[in-house]
Amino acid sequence: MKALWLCRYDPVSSSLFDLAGSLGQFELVVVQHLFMTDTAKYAHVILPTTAFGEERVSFTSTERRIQLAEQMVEPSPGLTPAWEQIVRVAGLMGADWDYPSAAAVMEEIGEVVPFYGGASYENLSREYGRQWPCTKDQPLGTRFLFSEDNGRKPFKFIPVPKPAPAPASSKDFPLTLVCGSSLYYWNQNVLIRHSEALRREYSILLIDYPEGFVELNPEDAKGLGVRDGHKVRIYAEAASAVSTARVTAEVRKGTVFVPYFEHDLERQILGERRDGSALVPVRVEREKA
Amino acid sequence: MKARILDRADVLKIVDLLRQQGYEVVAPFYGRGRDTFFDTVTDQNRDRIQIHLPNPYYPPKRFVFPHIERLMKFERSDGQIHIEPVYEQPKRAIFGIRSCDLAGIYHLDRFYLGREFRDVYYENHRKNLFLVNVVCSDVDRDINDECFCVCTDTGPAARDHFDLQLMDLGSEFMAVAGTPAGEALFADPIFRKGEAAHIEKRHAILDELRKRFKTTTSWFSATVRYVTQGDILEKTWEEIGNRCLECGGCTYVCPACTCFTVSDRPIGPNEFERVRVWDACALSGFTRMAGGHNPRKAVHDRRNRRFFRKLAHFFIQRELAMACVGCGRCAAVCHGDIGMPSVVEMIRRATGEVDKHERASH
Amino acid sequence: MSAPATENVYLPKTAVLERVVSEIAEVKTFYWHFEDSAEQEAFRQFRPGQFAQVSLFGVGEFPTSLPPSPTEGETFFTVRQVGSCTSALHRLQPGDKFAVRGPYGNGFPMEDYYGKNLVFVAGGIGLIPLRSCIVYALKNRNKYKSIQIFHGAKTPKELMYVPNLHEWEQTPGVECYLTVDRATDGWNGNVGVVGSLFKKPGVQVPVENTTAFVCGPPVMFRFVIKDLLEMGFSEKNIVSTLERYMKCGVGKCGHCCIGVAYVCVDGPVFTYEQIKKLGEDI
Repeated sequence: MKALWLCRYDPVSSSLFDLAGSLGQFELVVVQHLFMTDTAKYAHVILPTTAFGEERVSFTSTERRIQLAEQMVEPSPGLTPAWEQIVRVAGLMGADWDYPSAAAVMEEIGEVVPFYGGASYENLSREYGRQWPCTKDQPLGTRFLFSEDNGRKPFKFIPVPKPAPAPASSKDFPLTLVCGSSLYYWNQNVLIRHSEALRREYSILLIDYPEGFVELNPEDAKGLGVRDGHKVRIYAEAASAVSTARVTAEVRKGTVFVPYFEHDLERQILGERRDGSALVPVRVEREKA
Repeated sequence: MKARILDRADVLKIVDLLRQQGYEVVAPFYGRGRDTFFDTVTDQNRDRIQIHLPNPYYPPKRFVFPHIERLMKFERSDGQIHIEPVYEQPKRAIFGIRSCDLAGIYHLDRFYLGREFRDVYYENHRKNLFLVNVVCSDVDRDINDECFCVCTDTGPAARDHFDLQLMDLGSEFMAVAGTPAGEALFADPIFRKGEAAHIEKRHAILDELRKRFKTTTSWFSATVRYVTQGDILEKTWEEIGNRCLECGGCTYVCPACTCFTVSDRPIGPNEFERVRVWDACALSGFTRMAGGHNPRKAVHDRRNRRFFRKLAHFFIQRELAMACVGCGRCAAVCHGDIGMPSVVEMIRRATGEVDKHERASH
Repeated sequence: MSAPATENVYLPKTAVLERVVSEIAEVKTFYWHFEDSAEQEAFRQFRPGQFAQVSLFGVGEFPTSLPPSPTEGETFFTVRQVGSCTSALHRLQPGDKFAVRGPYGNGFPMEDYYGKNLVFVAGGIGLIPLRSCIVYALKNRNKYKSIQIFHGAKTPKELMYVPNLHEWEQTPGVECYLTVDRATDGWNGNVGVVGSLFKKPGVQVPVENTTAFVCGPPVMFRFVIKDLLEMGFSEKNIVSTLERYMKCGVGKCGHCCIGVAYVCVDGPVFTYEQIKKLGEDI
């Protein structure tokens, strides 16, 4: 691989590992983005793109909903939609790609991906879009993916008598470490950094806990003799890491919460597991200064 | 106040009249699904203006108090700092503003123009603003499940604060002038004098309308009293706070919320602009001071704050208007179901519980 | 576009930094004046306890108390470096420009205290807003009965306005008592919290016909209030000035609104009786 083309993707900010070094191995890195992201800093070519509301494009949410976003404002001069940039570069490289609009791209997607067969822009411009499968025969889309109506077996819910015990119940590692999103940190915070009120909320967290934090329930904290702002060491089976305690009832008793932006801590504790969704049994001790 | 009658087919001619007078007219339109929004009327979209539709979630407040507004520019050259205020004084008309939102603008008037300091930016947006109120008379389209203007005494038909009010009587509309500017429109031949039957019809429609509201927060006035006197249990605020996700949505859709933050941002190598941006008391950074002290750290303290500011008698008296106008938007957007009607209901239940305990202890 | 008739209360006026004096670690006093002499003259009519909004180019605006007394010729701020705006102010050099608007807030009603004993209790940088009242009272010495100043700091190095403290200690008719939490640097004065000074032999705090000014960090504030109430002070004779996050200073942005008061216009000066009713953390 010699070249890498990243479309509105910022792996450098989100990865636990040193991607900056990997990016350096490419002869050509192209980044299409709205903002000067950490990844864009390593790009040979940056193509600034139009933003939501500046272009007519579709997007699909995790709810399977394919929606059409209309252009409401004129983009700043010189900016073009990401798809158009790809088409133009392809043209310069000798390909004969002829898409007059994003709608034409969508039409081709519909031909190749049967689930999107009925998702023409004309169809998407009604209601709040359509949920796939949205085929030519079923242009209104599919509200429930698993229902008897469409021949797929619905899920069966079975009541669980008692919540499954957390993996951390041993004496040595009585707490469970959970990684997750933080209220004011979403994806790589590219957008939050550009919203006045949200940026303030995020930066306050960093002012209060300049070296980052892990969240502890007040009851757990009391048992450990840890107060808000204390340095703590988190021991997992194979590794340990130091952080600052943020004591808050927002986290459940028995749980240690690590927000996703704590890359260093995640890296140290999770090691090669590299999976932020894992529940890790840990022990927390106050770190004496 | 003078009233006139006009044909249903002539209603949008009022928009044309205003545009001829040089107004930028904003009016409500349908988006997709339930979505509705206010937009500037052009020759192209003029026929798509809606008289009856669900009230847009994004309140017309932004036409007097923009979501983001430039206040001034700072320029630095040769060691000097040059400060230049940025003023915008549009001549604008809002066609189809609902009675609740009208009450919202009245509240903003009292707040921004009524106290020790007048807000010049607000005044600039407000002074050439022409307000055409439409009475919510279509039960299916105008009145949403969350509407409770009958409880805040702000609707469905506003009694004042408009230049012109329109009410759908079927094949005809009644136009009521609230100001001389509104009355001046009556010179146009589309308007004619009405008869006693028109007034009777108006009353009959309004009487019927009042029965059609799904949300009736009957405990509202009692809540005002309880909040004012500080009689609400800490436990109740905690329950409310536990359900708050701190998204600030209630504030951003509220036609009567006034808070803003101020931010300086670069617009050139040696140039900055100072903008004000809507802010929300649900966010913890709203009260946090440099240095780290936050007098309102707990979520429930911040929720307590919102409802106290909206309902305490002191503020109602000072602004001669309540900072809640019964539009129901907060109830529609809140993920934790702690919009105003639900909070009133939670307070009612909690109060009932206190009574029970008291009875049990005697 | 022509200027509107309504005054733009958000518009700051350019000011020039004259000189900077270091007070304690991270706290400096900034002497300044408006570029426009008419602005300077109008501003100088402020009352003790009022505050101003200071704009730093490209950073933002912050509220700060006015430590000078209107009876003094100079205008200055004493500011602790704590956030981005205050840090930007600390970076300025004499001759640099910034911008100021104000004065805002109610201030202390110094005329209402004529004929009364004045007790000033300041913890740490809480002396900044009280300095204005103290200098004002000393300038109008014959209008007031006894004047007592109690000032406490963590260490001797953190006592505020040391030249002023020396001057007040020497001024006849003024009692000035100092204390530190930790004695260092050969300190041989009192060691303990500010409240410990009230019970020192020889100290006689008058309770009748007295107004007590209390300013300092939240913990100090709570303890001093407790002490004063135990000594028999009534809540309405204890006054303080509140600090809040604020953006506008003119009662609009909403950040400083507590209870029924907007700290910027209804305060920042409140009696303890009022503060209690506002019902929020100090």
